[in-house]
Amino acid sequence: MEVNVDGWEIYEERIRSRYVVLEDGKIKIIGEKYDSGKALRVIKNGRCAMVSGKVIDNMMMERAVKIARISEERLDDFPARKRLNRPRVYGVRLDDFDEARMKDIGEAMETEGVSSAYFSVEEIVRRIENSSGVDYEEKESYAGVIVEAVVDGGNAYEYCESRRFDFDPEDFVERAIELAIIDSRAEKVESGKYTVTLSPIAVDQLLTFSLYPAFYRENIKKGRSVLADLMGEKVMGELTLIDDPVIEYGINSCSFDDEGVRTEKKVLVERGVIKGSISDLIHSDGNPTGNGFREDYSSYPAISPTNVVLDFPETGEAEGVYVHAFTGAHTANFVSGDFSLKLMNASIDGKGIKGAMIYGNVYEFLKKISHIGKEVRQIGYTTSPEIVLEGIEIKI
Amino acid sequence: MYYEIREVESYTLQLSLENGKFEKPRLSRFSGKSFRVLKNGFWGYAAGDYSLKDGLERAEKLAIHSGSSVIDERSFSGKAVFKPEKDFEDFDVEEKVKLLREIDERLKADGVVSRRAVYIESVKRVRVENSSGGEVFCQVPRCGTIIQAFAKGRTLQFYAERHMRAGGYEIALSAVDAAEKVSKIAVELSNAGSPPSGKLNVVMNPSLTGVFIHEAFGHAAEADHVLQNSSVLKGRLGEAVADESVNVIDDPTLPEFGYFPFDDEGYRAERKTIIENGILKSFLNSRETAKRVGGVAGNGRADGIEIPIVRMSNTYIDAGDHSFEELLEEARDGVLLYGSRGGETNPATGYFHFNAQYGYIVRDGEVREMIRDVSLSGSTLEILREIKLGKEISFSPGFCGKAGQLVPVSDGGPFALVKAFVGGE
Repeated sequence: MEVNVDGWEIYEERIRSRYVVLEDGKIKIIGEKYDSGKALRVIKNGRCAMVSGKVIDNMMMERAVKIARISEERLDDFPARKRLNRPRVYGVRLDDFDEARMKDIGEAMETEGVSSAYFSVEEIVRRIENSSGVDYEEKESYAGVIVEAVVDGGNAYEYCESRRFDFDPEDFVERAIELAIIDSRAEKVESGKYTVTLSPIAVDQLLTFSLYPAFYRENIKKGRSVLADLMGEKVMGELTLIDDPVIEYGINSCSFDDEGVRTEKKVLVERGVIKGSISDLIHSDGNPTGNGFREDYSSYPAISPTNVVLDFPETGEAEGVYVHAFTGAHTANFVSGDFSLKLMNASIDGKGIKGAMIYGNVYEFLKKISHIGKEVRQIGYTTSPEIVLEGIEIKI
Repeated sequence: MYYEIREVESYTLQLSLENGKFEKPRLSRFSGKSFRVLKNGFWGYAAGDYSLKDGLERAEKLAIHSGSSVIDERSFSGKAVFKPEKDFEDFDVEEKVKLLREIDERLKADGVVSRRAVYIESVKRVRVENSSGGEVFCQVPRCGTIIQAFAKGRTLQFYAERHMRAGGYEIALSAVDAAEKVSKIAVELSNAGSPPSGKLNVVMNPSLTGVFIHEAFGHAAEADHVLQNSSVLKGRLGEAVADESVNVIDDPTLPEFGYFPFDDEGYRAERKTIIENGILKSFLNSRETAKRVGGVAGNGRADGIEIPIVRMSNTYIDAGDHSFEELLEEARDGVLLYGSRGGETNPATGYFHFNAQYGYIVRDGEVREMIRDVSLSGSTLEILREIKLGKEISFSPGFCGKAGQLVPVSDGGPFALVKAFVGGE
């Protein structure tokens, strides 16, 4: 660094991806993207600022220092180098998926009823270097598929994301079409209390928007979390939630976060008792948890969970109303935990349910878990089997 | 073979004041190129730091298959640079932070537990050339603020307003006066009660009407959804899909947040009438969907160097002839709802679901107590058949997400009376 600062950090991201797009049952586009960028953060007199771009030239460095002088983002130093826990995160090679293979995968997914579908393989290299001696690099990979199906006015989607190509995209095509057919024959049921099974997709949608933000130390410090006053108290039945960034091939596994902090396993809730919180560097009071992540190189690091592993003492089978997904999960109020969700592709005894809603509060909701399923699937931030809840009010 | 080259450059400065502290200052620049080739009815798309020659070659290699894609190859040439009233380059960072401090001061109130004021300025420059000889360049600055307050009363609640448009520093300056209103509503909301539930008469404010017309109707009018069999409007051009008082327009030429002079396929932007006097007149189109479905292209938009897809711009339901008082009188008993915390819609079925920011009970045609955490859902086409529209429209800015891409848009409309399903906890 040629500028006069007290601390600096350079984050770099290089992404290579290739994908195939299907529309109306037919393969339509093969594309690829090579992108890269850098972000520089500087500390001047304990004050921090960030600039980003394809390249960080002298002009950008000067702007960073100028903004840092008046910033009130307080940071004494960037984290020091530590020995990392290295989970495996690279399990698929982009070079094995040339355009001919992408075409074959796309063609195998060509099915009537698929309104759109997308299969992709991606390699990302993250690198972070700072003035405290950190110089880490990690190469990771993803393979994923998203399918939307429309059959006789019924519709559904399915998706899968993995660090490896350990799934068959055609399975998700089949499942989406099956759900769309059920949806096309859906009928109304009576409003009332039901036993409800949430699929791992529905579990992730519910928790990501109504619960996880309450564990962010930023929200706790700023009065935006009801958990601030509930540390050490048993408020979630027998539920256990662990943020585990070092699971082998976990979708969000990594050995360091996007601020160069070593990642570690953290207990958030243990048998209903609130035990922990997650933090980035800025809100950590010197004790970051390795949960500072950037949406892309140009985004400011913000708190995010990694792989939240859900556990419960009782296991068993799915029962009652099966909810594949929700519509409107992102409208939940994470400050209060209140939500109103439309059930998407819900069914009872294999028959589709039309137009049903669930209103509630996530903290009340989680007390009603009776048992969980046995087959764990990772969706988004959540690693969970199905969960079964009793006495849930469904409104039509 | 048809090809297109797009070069994108953007610049963003974001400054935030959290509880009076100037945090997370962020300046970013982006540049990138994308290349696409249509060959034998199949697309190859390459995005990255290629030379113009290498990028085209790569895109052509990816177009390995054959298919049924066709496009409107029409060429446009021109240069459009949006001139703001006050160029934000003329104001230094200190001045912008000072403006945020003034907003923050005005946000302070009893009951407010957390405050946030954000200033954003950005410039996007795009150059598109294609194999038909077209070449366009456009430069659009956008600016504005987000003002948010969290309040604690009987429950913890928040309220936020966005004031953003195409333009310069003048937009941020004009937003300062909104601060008191933001904290006042947050405090009232933290002591508000739960809403009733059931099928009720609902008066939506212009911002909620705008979200409704964008989310619940607009997405179904995007022709790619029609081609994917996932639009409730498929096959209904020329039919009555709404009450005859309803006119829905998408107009990228208005200087609102969704403004653009040429789209990301290098096609000239123009005003599109989607519904005229209740009749479905046209869909929104990209170069490809225009050729396949019929209609005029010009709504192909992309986030950065992603693939352009059919998107809205500034979408609104035009004014009707009811005064606000008439709508309340007509509603008699029901709710009056303001703004949206986001929503979701299913263009295939026309079902929609949003959460309003706040609302009031309407009893005997009068606005009564405030209500919180209220959601609104229903079937779009049923609602449009019975909607009653107020006299004045206004626009609200937002970012619309589709296929993982975010683009700036605005939604507009008047106060409107509908019958819809209202719910709460």
